Amino acid sequence: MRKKKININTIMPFLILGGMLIIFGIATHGQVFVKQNLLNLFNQSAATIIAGLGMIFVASMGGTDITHGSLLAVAAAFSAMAGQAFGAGGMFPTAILVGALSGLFLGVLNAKFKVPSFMASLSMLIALRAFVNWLLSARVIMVPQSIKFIDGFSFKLPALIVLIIIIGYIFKYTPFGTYLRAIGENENAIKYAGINVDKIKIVAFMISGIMAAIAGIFTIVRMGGSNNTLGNGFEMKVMMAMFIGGIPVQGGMGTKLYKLIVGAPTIILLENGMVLCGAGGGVTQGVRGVVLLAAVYLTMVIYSKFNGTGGSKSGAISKLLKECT
Amino acid sequence: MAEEILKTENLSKSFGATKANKNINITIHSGSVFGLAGENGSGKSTLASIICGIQKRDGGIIYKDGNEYNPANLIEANRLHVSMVVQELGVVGSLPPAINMFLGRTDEFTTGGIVNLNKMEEAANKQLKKWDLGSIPMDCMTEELSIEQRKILELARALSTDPDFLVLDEISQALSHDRREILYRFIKRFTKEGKTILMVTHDLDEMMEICDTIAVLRDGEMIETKPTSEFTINELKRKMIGREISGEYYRSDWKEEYQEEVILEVENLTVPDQLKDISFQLHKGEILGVCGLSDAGIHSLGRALFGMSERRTGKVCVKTTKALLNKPKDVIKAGGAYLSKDRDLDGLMLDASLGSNLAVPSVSDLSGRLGFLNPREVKNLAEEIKDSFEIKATGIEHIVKSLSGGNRQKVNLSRWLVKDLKFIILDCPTRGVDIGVKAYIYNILKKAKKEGIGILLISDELSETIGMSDRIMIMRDRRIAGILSRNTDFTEDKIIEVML
Amino acid sequence: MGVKMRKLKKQMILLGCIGAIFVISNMAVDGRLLTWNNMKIIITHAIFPSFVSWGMMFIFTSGLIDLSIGANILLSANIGAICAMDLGMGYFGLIGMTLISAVILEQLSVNCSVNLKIPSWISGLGMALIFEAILTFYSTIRSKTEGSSNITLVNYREMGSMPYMAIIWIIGFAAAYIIFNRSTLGLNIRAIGGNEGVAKAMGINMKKTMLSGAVVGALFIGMAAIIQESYAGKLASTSGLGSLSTIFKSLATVLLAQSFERVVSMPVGIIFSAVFVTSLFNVLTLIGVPSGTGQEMCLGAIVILCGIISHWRYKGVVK
Repeated sequence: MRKKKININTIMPFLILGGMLIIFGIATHGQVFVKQNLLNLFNQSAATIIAGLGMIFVASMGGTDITHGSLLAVAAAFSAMAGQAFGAGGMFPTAILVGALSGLFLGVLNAKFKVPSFMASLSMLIALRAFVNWLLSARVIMVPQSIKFIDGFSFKLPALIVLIIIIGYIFKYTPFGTYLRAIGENENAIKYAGINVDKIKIVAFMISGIMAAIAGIFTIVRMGGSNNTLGNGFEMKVMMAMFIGGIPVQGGMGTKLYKLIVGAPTIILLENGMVLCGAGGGVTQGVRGVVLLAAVYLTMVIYSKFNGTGGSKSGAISKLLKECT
Repeated sequence: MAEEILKTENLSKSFGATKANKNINITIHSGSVFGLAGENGSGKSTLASIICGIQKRDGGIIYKDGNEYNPANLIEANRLHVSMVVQELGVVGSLPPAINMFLGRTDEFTTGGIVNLNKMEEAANKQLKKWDLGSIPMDCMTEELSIEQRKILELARALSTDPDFLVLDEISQALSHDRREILYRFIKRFTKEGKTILMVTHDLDEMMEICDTIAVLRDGEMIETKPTSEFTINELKRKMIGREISGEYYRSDWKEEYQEEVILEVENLTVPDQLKDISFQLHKGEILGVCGLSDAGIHSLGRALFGMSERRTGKVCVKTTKALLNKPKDVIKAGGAYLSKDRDLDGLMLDASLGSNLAVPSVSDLSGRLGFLNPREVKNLAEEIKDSFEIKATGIEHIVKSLSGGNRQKVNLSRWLVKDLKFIILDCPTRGVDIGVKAYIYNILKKAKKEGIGILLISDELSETIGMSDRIMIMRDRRIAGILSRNTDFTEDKIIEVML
Repeated sequence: MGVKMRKLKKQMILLGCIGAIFVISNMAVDGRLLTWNNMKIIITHAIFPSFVSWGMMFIFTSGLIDLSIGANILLSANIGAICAMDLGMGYFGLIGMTLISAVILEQLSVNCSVNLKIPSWISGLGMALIFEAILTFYSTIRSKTEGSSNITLVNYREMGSMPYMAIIWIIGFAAAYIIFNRSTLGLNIRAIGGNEGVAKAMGINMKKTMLSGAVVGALFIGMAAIIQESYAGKLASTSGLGSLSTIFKSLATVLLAQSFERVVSMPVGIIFSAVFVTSLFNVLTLIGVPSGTGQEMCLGAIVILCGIISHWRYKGVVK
């Protein structure tokens, strides 16, 4: 009985992706499958997945990091500057440093100062965007030609796979990853197991920041240069990739990497397909909102069904009166 | 005989496949105290909450004052003069006490849509005075009150609906000795007025003393109802678990016995407002019991030793290695563990699988080079713990939330005991656990003692500390009031004398 | 009595601190802060965030952190302006329709969270995207037919000028105070925020209370929309969650007021906080920090700071 439900939970993201492919395949008369568009889909998905590989660390704890859009722009801007100053070699270290610092700041705010992560990261999102505006104004900083190779399919795909393997290893096969998901389930339990929860949280936010910065480099190299609108709305895209893939909002053991990897092309395909169908900016954004709500809702429903085994027979009152001191 | 105030006929209730109440027939006479006894999961809380309208019954009839009684919720029950004080409920800390007392009924104090606070405070004070419950400050937020004052406030809140049938679910647990006296005095007065109390308590001594009639529930069935005078406490226990309690329940010896080697040394441990100047030593293979009245600080001691308290001063160290234990991490590193009083909140991941719960404390030990954690090893460990501690579950994929309280505690305890422990701090390890698992846990503790693990057993149950400890450390007013030896001093009288 | 005195002492200290900050800032900007004219500007600018914050207070206290409020303000203000100008409904259109749309939009957002059991901040984000999209969609059409993408409120703008604004402010304060502290609805909302379990057991209808709270909150938000539309004359559509920055000052205000809840009650705290936060930006402008970049950065920093203060010494689990 329960086994069957796990299956639904597992294959749901694939079903959605498949359905989306069929719908847009028909609606655009096969235009989505044109080679150029497929490459475009891949490039956008790759950036989303890379950023998501970081965000998933925070999401698995039940936290939120929506700095990604602005952080990507800031990291991209700095790395482009570094690229101009020191050549292509300077780009990655600079971006990673920027991402790590931002993550460190956010992590300390959340872990030590107890500011809810969505509030802190929302503030950061706005502040960092303002920072980029100030830094660049209307300026565009070009990246050195020598870095252009990373935009090629033959580099990007292996790079993506390597990143997925590294992150997958950390996330699934280390105590650190276990603790992250355990924090999503019950933070106190981990604290009482003598584990330094604050440290884990901060590291998770740092990884999230670093991956956003790496996504920033791939994006800026693709664009050729950095401007101040880079990455606008990117954080929502990454968030939705996770939710549409079925990663539960509250984090915990149900957080799986493959859900992100399937969810990212799904959301990219959705937006791409709508553009190909000729939908305007307003409509696309509206659909994005509806999909966000629907995805989160469906994940909740499926997840609670799969997890709701029987319920406790004893303490019916305590169940009813939960959350009391 | 006084008239019947409440009567149930074939009352039943199920949660899924579980029958929480099976054809319950009880008759309660007005002016009496009716006790409900039973293990956890026996259905007594379900019965109480059906009577108060918090839950719906599946079948059967309830009569109150001869009329059919079927409240849709607690409020409707209140209107029919039934009220209850629940163990876990509590108050809203960010509202003043008076509003807490009349919450949900603030409309009664409204003129033109505006609530009259003065009128409400007056009514609140009147209520307290009426039942002689002592005074509570009114011009502050409720969170500024002490835990006991809040409990009394809850009682007053229940009484403010003018009930003639009051359900008290584990109320005395939160109260200290003197407040309990106030409670008992109140119960006498209340019943003298011809009103009735349904009492649910784990404290069987209290039940024997206060209740006129006791009904024993087991697995949702009513086993026996008769006047208290016809029960002995052993008979009551036997009825509750359905078998004779074996002599092996507690320790059978009466000797203070442990190794010379000191494991844990505590010097002048102080936490502002919680602990004052605590110094003691825990030996290898010793069970050191800690008990005291409700605000004596016994639970703070556990937290402080584990390094969870802020502004802690003094020294906690491992004697042999001189390693200082300042943070939880240090305790774990030194081979220690701590189980907090609230296992669901602080220990378990309720929505996660049994396997993940069992593995959490050990994942860092299992990980190899580059932190590699082999899922197979994790799984094997979980299976091993599940089997060797006889945790009743369908498999390690079983979600912990659907395990019984006793099994959950087994999960919580066993996953630490498989590690190479030197000492363990247990805060009420048998709280809310049925007698079967309780005996099992005591056996585990005896085994651990034999293996040389030092055990600090913090407990609210005096009989438990007496039954298990080599020495008992009694706390009073956040200090150590005395340490008694199993050799000579273990009588309830002697312990209570030190406690008060 | 002792408790009351202690509280009074705390209030005095708080007031003293605010006063001291003002005096010091005044010196920093060569006395340009505490002039009559400048104070008038500050008050004028503090009225909008005050109303938004009172609205948030009724919604956030019961645990619904709704981020669609910014988009709600933009959309309902534009609907009100269209009714007033294009449809010729005058003040009735401006006030009535803005309030009605604010309530409806807020109900949509809150219902989405309460009924579908989605975390409120996500349902808020989703709804903000949708509300923004509706306005953007309309603006695109309008720019084709009318030439300009946003409606301008040419007439009916008295509510955005002094002294009417100040009068509305005072009335709004009185209403917020009474409903929050002295009405069953307000007390029930606070009970839910303080301890859900108790509130439920005491027969408070959670859903009804939360939704009613959202109605009251939406009325304040609607008033804020009217005031802003009247004051500015035009509220442009945004995209990509740009509407969030509309409510950021209010978010800071609410957080700040929340952290002083033990000292002064929320509705009062919001007035102080709104004036305080507005003054801060006034000082920034006086110093010469450019808006859009420097000031936005400060805004983010201030919300974070307020977040830190309001969670100071908080012991529970924070996600």
